[in-house]
Order: sequence, then structure tokens, then C-alpha cells
Amino acid sequence: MGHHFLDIAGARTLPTPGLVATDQAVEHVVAASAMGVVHGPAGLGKSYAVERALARHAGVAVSWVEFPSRPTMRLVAATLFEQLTRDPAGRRSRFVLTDELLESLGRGPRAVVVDEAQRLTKDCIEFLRYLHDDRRTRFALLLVGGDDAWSVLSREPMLRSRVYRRVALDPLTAPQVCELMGSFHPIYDGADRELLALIDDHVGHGNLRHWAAFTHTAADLCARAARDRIDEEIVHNAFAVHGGVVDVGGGGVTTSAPA
Amino acid sequence: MSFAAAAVAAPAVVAAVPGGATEPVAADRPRVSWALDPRDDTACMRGLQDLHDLAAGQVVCHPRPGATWPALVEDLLRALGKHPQALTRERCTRHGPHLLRVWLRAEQIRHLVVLRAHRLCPTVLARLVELAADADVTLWPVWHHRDTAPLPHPRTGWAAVVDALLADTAAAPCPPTGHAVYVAAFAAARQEARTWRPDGHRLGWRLPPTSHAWPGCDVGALLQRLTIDAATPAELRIRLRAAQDGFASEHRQLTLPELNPATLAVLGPRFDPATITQLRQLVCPVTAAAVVLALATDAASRFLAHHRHSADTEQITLLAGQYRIPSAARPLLRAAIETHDNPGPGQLLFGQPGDLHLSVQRLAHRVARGCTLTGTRPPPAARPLYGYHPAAPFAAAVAQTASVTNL
Repeated sequence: MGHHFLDIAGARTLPTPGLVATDQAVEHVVAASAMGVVHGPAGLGKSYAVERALARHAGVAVSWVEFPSRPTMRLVAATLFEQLTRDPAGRRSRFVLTDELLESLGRGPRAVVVDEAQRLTKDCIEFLRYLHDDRRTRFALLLVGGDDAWSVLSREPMLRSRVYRRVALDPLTAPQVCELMGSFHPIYDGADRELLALIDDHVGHGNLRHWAAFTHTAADLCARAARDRIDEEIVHNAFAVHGGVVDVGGGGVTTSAPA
Repeated sequence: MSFAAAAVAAPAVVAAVPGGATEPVAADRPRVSWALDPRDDTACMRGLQDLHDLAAGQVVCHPRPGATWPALVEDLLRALGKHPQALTRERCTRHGPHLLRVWLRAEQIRHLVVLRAHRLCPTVLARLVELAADADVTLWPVWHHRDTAPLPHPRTGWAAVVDALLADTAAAPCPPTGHAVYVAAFAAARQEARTWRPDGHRLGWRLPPTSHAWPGCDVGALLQRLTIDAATPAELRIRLRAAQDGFASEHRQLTLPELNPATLAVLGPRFDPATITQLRQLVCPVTAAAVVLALATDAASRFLAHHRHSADTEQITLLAGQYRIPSAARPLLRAAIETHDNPGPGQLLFGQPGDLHLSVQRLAHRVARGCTLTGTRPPPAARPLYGYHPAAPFAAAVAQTASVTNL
């Protein structure tokens, strides 16, 4: 199962529209051994959603790979080979690695997840397409990427025509934040909707990573102040930590940046 | 050869514009046509890949990305059923293009579809066109891009190519049913029965000196001719039953030992589809032909080395008689003959009597090596030559107890 950003103790998984859509898309892509794309701005929980969705398919071997910017085909082949076989690629050529990959990818139910897919070049996309199109292989290919991933991937007609499910994640809207974030962490239990909207306006911006960072700070402040839930004072002190020193009018809570 | 020079005879297909509409094709249509897939559709890839059928003379090659000419040659050889490392492990790397040409001709390939051809560099593409012309193959490079495919070759929508090649495959004969096998085997056995003398030997048969052939060689060759085409154990049983019935209809009795699984295993099937696939993995035509002949005849390499083969590779003649080569294995023999006419790598299989000794030793080595590479059980011809032995019959355990008598 995936980990929350900053591994916040007590954090719960929210049924955001993005998470639900990713769950469904991953299920379809794995069932059909097809290609899928999950993209959206950083911090919306793309990788977490994919990881969580794949964890529900116990019989499917999952390989996560991530490449540096503009990788070569050889690097893609070697990284995939090492992930799949747990053997070092050594000095094998790209063509030899390709043969071994075709053999490995034909063995059983498998999902390959390429994180930060926007870094792939045209050649690398062609290489992944080759592996996926080969008659001997049968695996689900999930391309997970940042904001510009879809613009990179959709430039290639070879991918655009092959993507079976595409999920575009957007930041949560203000009503969604008010509805969902109350159940994100025990410190928000019963929190006022206006307070949640205030946090979203100042820090969260509908972005789960920002919310996680804020929650980490706020939970720390609550623990120091021996409070169970956030209140306006905790929130303003947390703002001070995140956005600079803010005078909250004689509050007794002292703050420090989280470790 | 240039792109323009690749234009030769006409395939009987219809052309289509990218939109899908078809247009009539001129009679002098060139043998190279772009198949267009402007949307780079996965349906195109699947549709064309499904057309791959060696038996129907259609090969679809999916080259590895960034393929150079040697890599493309390897990919094409793989599409022809060769082992991925065939060129390296048989030490034929330098002869790749020549061997590719030989195998394309030997397998009688008529249509060669090369996917992702829009990513091949012009030099590689030109060599591919040249190869197709040399091997007398219609080349269908597939252009999976919205940009226009380069001239001078005509352009056809991929759906029209699929239709044309499917129509071509549909014309190929279907595998025979059990009844058809029985009828054909019965007719063949009747013909064979008419050529047998009352003394239980074939017409024209002279008792060879015992130093040359063991008794039973003529019956062994008869059994070989009647059963070698069997592709499955069930078909083998049908053929044996049809053979006995055919002989009986001509007032001859073909006596066989009890047909238990062990006896049947001695006879075959020698060339079932799995064995053919294994043998196809060999890229050196001489090695492949040596293994085919050794498996088909059970003859020692001494006798195989100077056999005679018919022009259509349907039959070969050895000391012990005539042997049949099943149609599925004939391409492997044809490839060796192509190599013989235009010498390629390795020692020639069909050596002259002058270099008999060397050829025989090398032949035994090749058979053994070929069997090791393909994982097939080594036949007698794989044994090195020590001493002097007479020719053993085909399926000796069965042939030496089988006989033909008058009813």
C-alpha cells in the first residue's frame, strides 16, 4: 500500500474524484493488459492512487520505474531489465536486453508503471510501445506523469491511439475540500467548513501534498499545545510556519518548523 | 539498386487511399507498396501481425526500435522462425543478409510486411527494397505516421492491405481431414503394393552386399514413404491402417509388429509441427538440411553425404531406396540447395565423391550440432564414424520385423 506524503500518523485516504477515477482506470487497464495514463500537477496523489489501486491486484507483479530526464533506449531497457529480473544489466546491448525483456514480460500477469513519464523521449516511448505491442508480451503499462506529461505523450500518435484509459487529476475545488478534508486527519474532525476553506485558500489550494504538509505542521502544533483538534489559533500559527512569521495576537502557542 | 529500380512485377491486390477508399491498380504495379497507417492505430498493428503465416508465404516483421541493417536482418530472420541468437551461435553473423535471402526463397515467401518502417533510415529502407527484389518478395513497409510516405512507391491504406493478404491466405489449402488422409494413404499404398515382387522385395531391388545394407532396408524405405507425412500420432495410426488396407486390396499383406505406443514412437511422427518449429530455428541451411535428412531417413552420415534429391525436394534417393521428404520440411532442404548453387557459409552438404571422407565427418558433426541447438533427439547420422557399418533401415526396430507377402 502507498504511503502518504510525509508519512503523517493518523492520516486517512480520501475518496477524491481523482482517486476513484484512478482506481477504476487501473482496474480496467490491468484487466485488459492495456496502456493507461494518469497525469496532473504535482501533489495531487497520482503515484499514491496508482500504488493503492495496484495493491488490490495481488496476483499481478508490479514493476515501478523512473528515469532521469531524456533517457536513452538502452537506459530504459536496462532499468526495466533490472526491475523485472533483479539481475544487473551489465554490459548487455540494448538488443540483447530487449530480447530478455520480451521473455520476462510474457511470463505472467504484470503491470509496469513508469513514473514521471514526461521525461521520456520519442525513442523511449517507441521502445515501450514495441514491448507492449509484441505478440509475446502481455502486461499493463501505466504512464504516470506531471502536468506536462499528457502534452508530451499525446504528441506521439503511437501512444494517443493506444491509451485505453486516461485520468487527468485536477486540484480539489473549494466545495470538495470542505466536504472531504474534514475526514483527512483526526485534527480536522468536526472542523468548521470556513476554517477548512481558509486553510485551502492560504496553503492547500486543493493540492493534497500541500494539505499533507500543513496537516503535519498542524498536528505537531496540536500535540505541543495538547489540543485534539485544530482551531483558528493553531491554523494561524501553522500559516506562520508555512508562509513566514505571522503575528496571531498573543497566542500562547510557540511554533517551530517541523523536523 | 535504387528505390526506383525496385519496381518490377504486379501483385494482384487493390490499392486504397489513406481515407480507406480503393482505387484500381495498374497492371504494372511495383513490388513495393507503402501501407499507410496515419493514425498509428493499434488495430493496424494487431491486424497486420495476425497475418503472419509462414505456410501461406506471408511474413510480418516487427523490427526492434532503432534497428540498424544488421539488427533488421536479425529481426527478419526471427520472423522466419530463426532463433534470436541464431546468427551468433551458428557463427554466421557475416552472412546474415545472404542467409536471409536464401531463407526467403526457400520458404517461398510472397509477401513481406515490415511494421514501423517509417522509423527506418533511408539507407536501411533501400537495402530492404533491394533484398525484396532479390528474393522475389512483395514488400509492404508500413508507414505509421501522419506525414506522407516517401515516393516513389505507391501508397495503400492498411485496411486494404489486410484484406488483400487475407484473401491470399484464404486461397491456401486447408489441412486434410482424417478421412482425406486415409484416402490418400490408401491410394499411395496401392501404388506401392503393385511394385512389390512375390519374393517380398520391391521391383528392381537387388540384394545388396551385406557390407552395404542390412536386410529390411527396402521395407524400411517403404514404411518411411508411407508414414513420414504424419504430423500427429493419430495421423500415423491412420496412415498405417490405410497402408495395410491398400496392400490388402492388391492381394499383398503388409505385416507389421504390434502397434503399441513404443512401436509407434519408433516410426514417428518425425516432423510434427513442434519439431518443424524447432528445426526452423537453425539459420545455417546446411545444418538444417542435414538434420532433416538424418531425421527423415535414419541413415548414417556416410550414406547421407552422397544422396540424390529430386528437383522439387519431394524425394531423396539413398543406397537403401527412395525416401520421401514431408512438405513442411522441404523448405529446409530447399535452403541448402540454394546455398549449394550459390555457396554461402560452411561446408557443402552435397559434396562430391572426391571429398567424401571429410564431408561425412563434417556432416555427422553438423547433424549432432543441429540436434543440440534445436533440442531434438540425435538420429544415427549424428554419431561419429568409427569403423565401417552397413546401412541400417529406417525405424530399424519396426522395419526388421515387418514384411510384404502375397495373400
